[in-house]
Amino acid sequence: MASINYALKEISCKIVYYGPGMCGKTTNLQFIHQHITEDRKGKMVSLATPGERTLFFDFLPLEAPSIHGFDTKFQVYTVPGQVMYNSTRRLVLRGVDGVIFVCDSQWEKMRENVESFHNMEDNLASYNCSLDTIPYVVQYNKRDLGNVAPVRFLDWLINHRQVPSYEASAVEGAGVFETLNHACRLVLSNLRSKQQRGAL
Amino acid sequence: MRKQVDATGVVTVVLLGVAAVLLCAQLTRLPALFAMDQGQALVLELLLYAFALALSKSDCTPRGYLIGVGAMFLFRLLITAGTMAWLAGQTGAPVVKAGAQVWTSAPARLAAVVFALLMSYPLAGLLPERPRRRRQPLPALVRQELLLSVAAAPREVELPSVEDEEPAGFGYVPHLTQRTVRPIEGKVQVPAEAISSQLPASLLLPGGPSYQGEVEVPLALVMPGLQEGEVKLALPDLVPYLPAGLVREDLDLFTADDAPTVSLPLEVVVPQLPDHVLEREPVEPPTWLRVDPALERTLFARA
Repeated sequence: MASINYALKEISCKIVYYGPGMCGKTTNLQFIHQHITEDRKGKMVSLATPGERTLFFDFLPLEAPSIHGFDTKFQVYTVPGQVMYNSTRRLVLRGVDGVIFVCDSQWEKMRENVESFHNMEDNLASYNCSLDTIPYVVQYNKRDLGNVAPVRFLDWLINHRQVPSYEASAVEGAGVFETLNHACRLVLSNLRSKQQRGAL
Repeated sequence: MRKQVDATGVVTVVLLGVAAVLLCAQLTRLPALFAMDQGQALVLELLLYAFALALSKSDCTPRGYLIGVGAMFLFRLLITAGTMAWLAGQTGAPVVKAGAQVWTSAPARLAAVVFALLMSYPLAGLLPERPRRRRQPLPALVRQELLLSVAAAPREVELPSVEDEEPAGFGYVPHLTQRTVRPIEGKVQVPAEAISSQLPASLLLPGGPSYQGEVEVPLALVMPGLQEGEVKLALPDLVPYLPAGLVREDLDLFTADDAPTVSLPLEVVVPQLPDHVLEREPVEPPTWLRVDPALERTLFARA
């Protein structure tokens, strides 16, 4: 849940990268950490196994330019994609303001993508939330590989709400910042809309 | 074990609710609510308990019935005792004369009904659990006939959604209710080799592994799995479409549970889909999708 500190004129939002195992969530975060200007980023925390699998979560604090006079901070998390860590995924989703769902574009990962998406919906439902109220964007990652499904099929399979989607290659950085920026904009717009409705 | 919500369960809870209303009517001196005296209300209430128990547990032993009804009656006695004790402590509590029917105000009767409905929930918890129904595998011939009828079904007819008995992966149950799968005419061609390579050699005929032809699979078989990201078919379902000389013909020995499965390669199937299959139906965009124009700028730039 986003917090607004009117005394300090500060907004804090939480964004979570969600997706199946090995789809490139941590790679997205690493690329952002490596390529964002120093004054916009904090220290990245990552707890991974020797096989570079996320064990608990990755965390990267980001600071956006001032918006309407408010300093805007984003706490960006990734979830562990492995099936056995569902309780951790659910925990990371608590209080989320926006989601970036990362799909693995490879043909053989289609079922994992669908399962992960439904798993995300189920975990959000455990907090009485749904993707009808939480902004999210979809990122089709690994587009640089040869055995990838066409975007049209991925859209049909995953993107039922027809939300913004981006093709990306997180290792090369293609689409990484575009995805993040769009998700952040949606989160802030939603926040503003909630504030105007008095729901915040 | 999870309770199943079905017609039997609903009827059971309704019966218990009526029984609880009767109990409340007695406790609140309202037998007139049902135009019967205290004794009749008590007998009817106990009959409802027994009937609810019999309905919910058809294979219960006589001892189980006695224990179940006894437990419910004990629960009822506890409530009665508690209510009597509470009434005794109240000043101006109603005094009931034998045989007299006392009418009270409408709010009091309404409160009794609400209280009864609330009370029916813990009463339902006293019922023994029913064993979970397990889906029996259909005989192979019946299954094949069903599949063929599905493949030949007109486009307007909706296919029933399929539910996995066992959750896979994330403890996930396919959300097939989100989108209705409509049978689509047409077939996709899959290289026989892609199928035979997934089968144990014992199921293949001598020339099977080297068979180079194509297998035509109806889209009606493909689509339900496709929207879950994997087209996995049980071999007996696929056999009617396999060319002769590929696999053995005594595959009806398999039941649904132990039949080998074959995954059709998506990279072969998807490019053959007719254009309209992947067309998205227009949906109402979520309200959060409208971006505030003031925020139409880059928040984070690549250094």
